[in-house]
Amino acid sequence: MQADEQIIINCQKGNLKEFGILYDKYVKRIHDFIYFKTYHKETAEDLASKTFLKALEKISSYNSKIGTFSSWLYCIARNTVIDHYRTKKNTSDIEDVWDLSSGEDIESDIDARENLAQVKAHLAKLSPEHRDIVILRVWQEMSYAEIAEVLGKSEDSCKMMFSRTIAKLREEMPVALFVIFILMNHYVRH
Amino acid sequence: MLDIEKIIQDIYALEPSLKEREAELLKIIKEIAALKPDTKFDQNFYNQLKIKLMENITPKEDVRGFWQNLFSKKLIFVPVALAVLAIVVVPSLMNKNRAGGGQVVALADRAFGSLVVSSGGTNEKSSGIVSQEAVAPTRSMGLGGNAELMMGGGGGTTMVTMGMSAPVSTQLKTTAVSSDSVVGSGVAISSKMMAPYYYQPYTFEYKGEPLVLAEDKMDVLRRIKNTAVVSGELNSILANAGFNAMDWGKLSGMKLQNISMTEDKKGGFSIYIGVEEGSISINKNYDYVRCMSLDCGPRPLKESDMPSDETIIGLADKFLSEYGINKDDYGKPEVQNDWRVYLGMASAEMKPDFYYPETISVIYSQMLNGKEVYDESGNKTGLVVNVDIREMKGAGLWNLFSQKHEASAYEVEKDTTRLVKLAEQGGFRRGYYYAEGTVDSSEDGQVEVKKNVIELGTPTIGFVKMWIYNENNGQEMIVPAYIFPIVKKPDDIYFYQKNVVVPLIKEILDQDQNQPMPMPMMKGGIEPMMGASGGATMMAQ
Repeated sequence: MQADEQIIINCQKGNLKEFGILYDKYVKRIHDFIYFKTYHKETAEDLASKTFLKALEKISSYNSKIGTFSSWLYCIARNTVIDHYRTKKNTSDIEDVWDLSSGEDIESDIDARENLAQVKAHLAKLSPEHRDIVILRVWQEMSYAEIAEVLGKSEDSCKMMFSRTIAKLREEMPVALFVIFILMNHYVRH
Repeated sequence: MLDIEKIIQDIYALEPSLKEREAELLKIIKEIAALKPDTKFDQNFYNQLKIKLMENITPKEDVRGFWQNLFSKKLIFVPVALAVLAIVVVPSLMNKNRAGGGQVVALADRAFGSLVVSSGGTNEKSSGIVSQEAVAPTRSMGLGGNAELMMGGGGGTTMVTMGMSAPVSTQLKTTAVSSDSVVGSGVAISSKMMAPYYYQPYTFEYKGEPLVLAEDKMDVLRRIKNTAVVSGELNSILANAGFNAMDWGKLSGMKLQNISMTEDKKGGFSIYIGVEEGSISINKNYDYVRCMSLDCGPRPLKESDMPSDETIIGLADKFLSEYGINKDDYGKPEVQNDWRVYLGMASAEMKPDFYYPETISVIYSQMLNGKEVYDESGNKTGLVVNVDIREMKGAGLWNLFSQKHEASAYEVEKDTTRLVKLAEQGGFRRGYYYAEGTVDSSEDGQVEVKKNVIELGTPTIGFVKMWIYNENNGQEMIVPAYIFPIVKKPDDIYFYQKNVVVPLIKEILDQDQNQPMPMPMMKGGIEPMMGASGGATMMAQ
């Protein structure tokens, strides 16, 4: 398989058809990442589309010395999600669906709302950056090196942030888990 | 698989004191992992976005011509159909790119997965491409001639319709009996193997130059099909078009499958748009039944009514031009004029009653990467325009497909000896063709075998359309292939085939070695023997 770097060089030389290879490689990961931050199928698809269209448009400006293509793409995705919510809510302190109150997240998929409520019980109190670390590490199974590139931080810094996030969650676990167990028991019975 | 142990160890490396809380840490991480939601990533979205990206890569064209022309002719349609056409269908189907070959997006090697048919899969379509030309030559001779035999390319698990009236030999060897295919008039058997009618093989002999294949890998192509409108867009279109009788938002995952429209006038056109397949066909509305006999309606056509090929192609070109259909993705047009062959074969008594076709087709062969695309029977495939001979104008078209493909490299079979051997067996699916008049049964039940030699010339490299079934999912793949031209054949029989096709991808060829082979029908005292290679001999018992 061709390395990303070579494909990008080819794209930058004008062979944009090779962008399809990058698309195939990353579309699911980017889509999933956005879904985790929106909990809404159509919105996730719309924002993932915007992410790839922006990446295609800006591919000539991508510089591999600054970071990997993967991290560049994730950055575009993160910013696209932030723009979506800030434009929609006309506020500057919302980055994703977890920043919305339960009354405001009505756009989320109906079948995912209870899951969202459970996740919020765990993660809503975290900063958006800490939440991203948890998502990227646990749900997207990325290495700290990859997370560091996406978030523009050092690998050690990301390790530390993740560790402290988990420690913090552990401290709050009794309450959080109580809620989860109640909800899960509810699921099992129904 | 999430490596929770690795996550835990990373945490301990930074916070050794947390080792005492291992159970709690494990629990919290497992809980978070378990809460990962289903992201609902689907193929529709993948395809739609890929199409959108490709449209941004290649220059857009003005696609209005075709549709303006149609809609200016008093088409019956509703706003929703027009909106859907404008948003989804037309840009996808009519997008022009360029220099004959459509849009091709390169993917990683072997991106389509295995091209080997899964053991449980049925490959009904793979070898079942039964071209019009593949029908037995007696079919079209004279008025109302019935097809005596209709068979696919042979081999595989082709579902075959055999319209013959001859009794089926009790020694006919088939692998299973079920109700999914037809032999004779309504007798259903599963055609894991098909039995030709008084089987008599042709012998293919390669007479071309020695072959060398330089490439280790070649691109297999797959057409990107339009996967229609996602629910949100369609719901919005329906609501905006005034269809408020129900709450469209309650429906999920809706997609548009097809649209049909008609021109509201005598002799107008019906248009069918297969949105999922990305196809358009246009057919003239004949609001009267044409009379084919001498005592009613217009007189039958005569030989002097039949225009030259040049004239027919000119009419087809004019039709495409009138409707703004671009021909860049297609090769040189060819008239499908097999009627001339049938006329030549007709006896002097039959010629006065010979049926001259009212409609003749012109095929514009599909071109991909500068190469022509064939079906497995060696016929060119592509856009077909029908020309009405009586009215001397275009009467419709079919096979107008979106021309967006993705390509992925697969290993090539470089053993050209093997490729030639396959060609000499009649092609990849192996041609088992009924050769009319080549078998004679004498009084004592012996069969006289007449050798019919078909000579093959040096091949060109083209593509062959194949259906690959894997895990019960079928997909049409466009596979690089040697196209061996038939340069010489017996004069006294009509052998319809013009080329023999052998795919060049190794794993496709490898799979075929294990496919069941057809068994010939038997005549008294004769035991036909066929090797797995498809060669055939007949041996007296």
